[in-house]
Amino acid sequence: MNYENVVKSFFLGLGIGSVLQVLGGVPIATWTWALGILASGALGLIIGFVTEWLTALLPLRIARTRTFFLVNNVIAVVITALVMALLYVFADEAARALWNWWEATGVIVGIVCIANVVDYFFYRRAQRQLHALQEALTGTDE
Amino acid sequence: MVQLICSSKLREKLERELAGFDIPVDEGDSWALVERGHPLPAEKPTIVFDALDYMDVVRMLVAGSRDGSAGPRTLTGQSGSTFSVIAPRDVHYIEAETDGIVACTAAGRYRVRQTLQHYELSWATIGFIRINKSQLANVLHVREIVPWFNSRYVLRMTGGEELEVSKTYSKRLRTALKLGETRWRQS
Repeated sequence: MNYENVVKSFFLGLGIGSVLQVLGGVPIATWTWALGILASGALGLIIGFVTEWLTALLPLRIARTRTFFLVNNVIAVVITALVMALLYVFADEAARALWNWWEATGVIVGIVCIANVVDYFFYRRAQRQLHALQEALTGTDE
Repeated sequence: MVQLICSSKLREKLERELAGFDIPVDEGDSWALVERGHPLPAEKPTIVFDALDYMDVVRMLVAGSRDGSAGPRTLTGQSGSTFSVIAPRDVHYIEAETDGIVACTAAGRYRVRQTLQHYELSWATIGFIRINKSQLANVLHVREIVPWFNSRYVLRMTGGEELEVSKTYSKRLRTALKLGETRWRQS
């Protein structure tokens, strides 16, 4: 399992928490604001941990670019939605009234999807770098 | 020529590794390899390294000494009872098997004489990169780098082979592609 990714998920959670706080109109630099962001980071940590654990089990023989991005996105979205649903089930009436949960889930899933699109651009960049390296090697080889 | 300033234990290891690549060790006017914590020589180009990373220094010296026209031109491979001269650029990958080292080309598999580490060090400048404990891949023959979970990759080769880049060696691949710490995935 890659623990570096789990830590990155924590920071992604902090980022998502900040966005939700701004969208929810929570006054900045209050206890509610700070706790909300920290809770979001903790959720990111849990989601990252579960995602990493699940994906580390996938065998290398099924490795395909399309499969990677599909699985990456589906797992992240499903686990995020699942955690949000669990939070909703266990939240009390006051907490449920505080947020529009569907909207919050939509924002989180959207950000996760954007992170995956960014990932895809990194992949494309890597292929370009590979071709550049091959051209450089061919040049020195001739 | 290179001067070693390090512990006696490390000196033994370095001398053995450098001798394998015909890099002489002496005390004269040359480069100095200095283990961190040891005194630096005056007026001499010096490379300071950590004892744990001593192979990185060997790799760097070998790459430097083989840069340019001194690079490997051919290798002799054995397939059955036939010996063939193979150009490194025709080798897709090299792998260690239980009974020796094999160079894989489009034409077949050839048993070769040197160790995997030898090819790793001396062929680094022509695009060979270690991808796991038992394989070296020729970057020239990589068609696609497939990202996978747990910091692993699969190299899809021009001959259709699929080679695993293990977690341990994936960082080296990213460095070779100048990707730094860029990730292809984030959770």
